[in-house]
Amino acid sequence: MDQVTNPKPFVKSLLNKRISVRLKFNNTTYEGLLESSDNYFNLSLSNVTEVTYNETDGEVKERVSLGDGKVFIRCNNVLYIRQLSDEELKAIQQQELDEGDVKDQ
Amino acid sequence: MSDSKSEPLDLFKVLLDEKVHVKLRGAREITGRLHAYDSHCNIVLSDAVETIYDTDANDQLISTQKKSEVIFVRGDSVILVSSPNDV
Repeated sequence: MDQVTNPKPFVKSLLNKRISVRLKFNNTTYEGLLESSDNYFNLSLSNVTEVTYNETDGEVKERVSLGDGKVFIRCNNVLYIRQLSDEELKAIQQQELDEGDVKDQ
Repeated sequence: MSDSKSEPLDLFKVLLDEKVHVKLRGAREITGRLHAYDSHCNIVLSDAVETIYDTDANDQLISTQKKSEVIFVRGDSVILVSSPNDV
């Protein structure tokens, strides 16, 4: 690596991008658009989906949309923050389409 | 250098006097009207309904509800705050 990226600039660079926030508890991540963060890395996201994973195999247990509104995540609960890749976004979209089809049938 | 731009805690400002949904440690959730908050996420809610999730002897998910006219929630147990999405 020839360039150093510090934590604050890194999180700033994720503003208005789709990110995944893993919590330290509950096998839960929140996927959404990063609206803002502060010095403690408190986060606010929009268009959030709550994803819970099985304790045993780590597979996705449930995906729940929290609506269009903004969501505040308190800093102490966060394990990590990462950007969702285009492939992951595509996979998520496809999954949502599939689920929609199942519901329509 | 403090940025005058938006901060996550601005969301609380917008939600003042509105119904909010708060997810807490220990499989608890509270919905109520937001009266006051501070930078620790200490929160005062009115007309609050607390839902506590648990599993019974057969591993079935059960929930109990408690109602309070006014309730103070200590910030350190807050995980997430949103506007209720069951509108």
